[in-house]
Formats: sequence, C-alpha cells, structure tokens
Amino acid sequence: MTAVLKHELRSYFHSFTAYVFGAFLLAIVGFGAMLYNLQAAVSNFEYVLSFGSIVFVVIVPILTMRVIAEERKQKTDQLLYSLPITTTQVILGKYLALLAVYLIPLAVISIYPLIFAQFGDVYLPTSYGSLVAIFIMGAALVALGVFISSLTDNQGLAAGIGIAVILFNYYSVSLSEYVSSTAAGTVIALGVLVLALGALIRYLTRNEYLAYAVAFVLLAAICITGFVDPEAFEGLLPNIMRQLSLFERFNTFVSGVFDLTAIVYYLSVIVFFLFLSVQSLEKRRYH
Amino acid sequence: MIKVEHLTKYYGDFLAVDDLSFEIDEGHVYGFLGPNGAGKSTTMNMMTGCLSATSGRVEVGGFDLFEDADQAKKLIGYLPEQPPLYMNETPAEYLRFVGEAKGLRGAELERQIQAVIEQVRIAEVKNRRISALSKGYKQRVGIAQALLELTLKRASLEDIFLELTENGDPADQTPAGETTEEQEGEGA
Repeated sequence: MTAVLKHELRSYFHSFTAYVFGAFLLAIVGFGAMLYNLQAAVSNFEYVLSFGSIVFVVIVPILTMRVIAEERKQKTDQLLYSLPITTTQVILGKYLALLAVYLIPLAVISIYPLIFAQFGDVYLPTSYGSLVAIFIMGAALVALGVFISSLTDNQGLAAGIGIAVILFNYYSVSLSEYVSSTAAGTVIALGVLVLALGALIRYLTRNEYLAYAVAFVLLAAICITGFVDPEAFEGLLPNIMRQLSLFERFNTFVSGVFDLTAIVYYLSVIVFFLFLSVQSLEKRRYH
Repeated sequence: MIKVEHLTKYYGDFLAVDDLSFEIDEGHVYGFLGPNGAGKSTTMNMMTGCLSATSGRVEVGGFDLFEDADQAKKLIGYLPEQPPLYMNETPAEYLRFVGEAKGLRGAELERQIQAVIEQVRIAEVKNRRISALSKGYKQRVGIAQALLELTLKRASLEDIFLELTENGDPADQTPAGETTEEQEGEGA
C-alpha cells in the first residue's frame, strides 16, 4: 500500500494536479477570509469555510477524476492486478495520497485563525472544530470522487458525473423545499429510486436475478409500510434529501457545536464509497 | 514450477478457455502458440491474477494463485502485449514503484533496479519520460519491470510471461533470451 501511496504522491506533485487543487482552495478561502474577516471585520473564521465549501463542487471531481479512470484507460490496472498487492491496498494507497494533497492547503489555511486572533476576538475552538469538520467533509467528497472515477475509463465523464453529483448534494436542502412532501409523492419517488437501484445493481453485477430480487424486496417493503403506517411517508422525501446533504451537516459546526454524529456520518460515507470502489475494481477482474 | 489444472473461462455464455491443464517446469523456456482468438491472452491473464477463472486452479511455485495470491504473485513478472507503463514517469521511477510493490526495499531495491536496467540496456534513457521513448525502449522497460525481483533468482523459481507481438523489434528479444525465462509468442 505504501508503494501505491508514494507512487501516487509523486505523480500528483510532478504534475499540475496537486498545485491546481491547492491553489483554488487557497484562493477561494483567502477570498472569503478577505470578505468576512478583513473587509467586514467579522471574527468568525468558520463563515469563511462555509463560504468556501462550494469550491469542492469543482475541485474534488477534478482532483479525483484520474484516480481509477486513468489506470483503466492506460491498461496499467493490469499491472496492479498482477502485483502482490490487494485491491483494497490499491484503493487505500490512492485515497490516502488524495487526502495528503488535500491536507497541504488545509494546513496553510489552519494558520489563518491564529493570525486573526492577533487582531481580534476569535473563538478558536469553533474555528478549529470547523476546520476538522471541513477536512472530514472534504475527505468524504473525495471518497465519493474515487468511486465515481472507478465507474468509467473516461476521466472527463468521471469529472462531469462528479460535478453533477456534488452540485446536487450542495443544493439538496434547497431543492428539498420544492419536492413533493405528500405521502403519494414520496412513494412514487421511492419507487423510481428502487427501480434505478435495480438497474444499477444489474449493471454492476450482471446478475439479473439479484437485481430483480433486491428491487422486489424494496418495493414490497414500501408497499407494506404504506399499508401499515401511511404517515411514515409524509414529508419523507424532503427529509431524505436533507439527510443526504453532506454540506448541510457542516453548518452545525459553524454554529459552534462539535457534532459527533456528523463526524460518524462522514466516516460512514468514506467507508461506504471506498468499499464500493474496491468492488468496482474487483469487478473488472471478474468480467 | 507452474501448474494449471482444469482452467475454464466463460465470458457470459461464450466459452473462451475449456478445461485447460498443463505443467511448466523450472529452468525452461516455453512458447504458447495458437491462432487468433484461441484464448492465449485469456489464459495468461488468468495465470497472472488479472482475470478470475470460472473454474480451475493455478499454482505458481507451490502457491495457489487464488488462495495465496500475495505469495504466488511475488514469483511472477508479467509483460502483456501492451506494456502497462505510466507514461508520465521515467523508467527509474516506474521500476522503483514496481519494485516497492513487489516488496523490495532499501539497498536491495536499488541493486535490483540497477541490475534490470543493465540487463535490458535502458541505462541511457532511464531518466527520460516514458512517453518520450521509442516503442522498442518502451518494450524494454516493460521487460525490466517483469524481471524485477527475479534477476537474482536464476537458480530458483523464475516465471516470466511475455507476450511478444510480431511488431516487436527482434533485436529487443535478445536481452530476454539471455536469461532463463519463459516467453510466449503470438500468432499461429
């Protein structure tokens, strides 16, 4: 795993990737710091992080688009399969390298609250709590990016899908206001999602029976819940959309609360998508 | 010593490899020939861990490739028809990565990298980007990668699989021929 880690780090720092990512992150956080902390003389650094988080919509997909897609394209995944390293080690090595690229500009940013503290009354625990949270939130988005990259051999497509997914996630809470909050609306939406999930399972596993079985079980569960307790569906769809938003959970940190459940949520997202990435890479072997 | 037992591969309904069994002894060079579409690449991919088998067993140096993948793969160097090269690196960096992935460290790693570079004669280009190398040199870098960890083990197990295309520079085949290894030729 360390071999993959070192190899990836070397390639990121010998190319533009790490520097472009770092530059954009520093630029937008710097811009935000100027607006909030300098211009408006607000001493809350966490607002800057909240302001800057939209940049992840673009820089995370661009950072992660190559990770697996390029290996597939260049056929170097064949090399990785024939080496005495497990797929899990490959994914972990690549992921940790991406986190390292992310940590460097973040380390620079973590000095800002200290600088501002010299000139005003900055509440450091909230600032640093938010920094930890933005790190883990970014790490979750990066894990998502790794998974998306593992779905295709086309970097551009990976980037495009990544941007679309993260953008949707960013606006997920606002969008949830416009979505049907009636029980019927929720049932229909869930039904469509289950069918989409079934199609995805069929594509990933090429096993029709598994896809049908999963879809059938989930649809049955929805029907049963509908008969037993119809009120459960009231407002469920907007609620789900709110729960899925990674960015929304960051806001509790901005309010000064170090929300441990959010940290657990982010860590679960990381494990979930890294696991799926390993499966995706293994799938290629099982043609 | 390589043992292939009842190796079978189905791509969906298509039978690519049908109950293939053979043994390969140490210290010999073998050619694996067959017409196009016979299943040579599929078999090779299965023997090196790049592809799973529908059924059957592969044993490399006494280790089952599917059960003891780590141990078995340490004994394998694989050069497919298209060398799996990272274009934006130099051969030296590439070989360092493959060596580390194979478990080499420190002085031993350096020594082996030097040894393979000399063996395939890429010393002049070892610090040039792989994308800037000619096809012949790229092929040699691929051979070098496959030789890592195995160069000093001539007396013990050496399993190398090479797929050489008809387009390969014949002159490049001599460095490979000087060491004890197995080669696979494509074409009928």
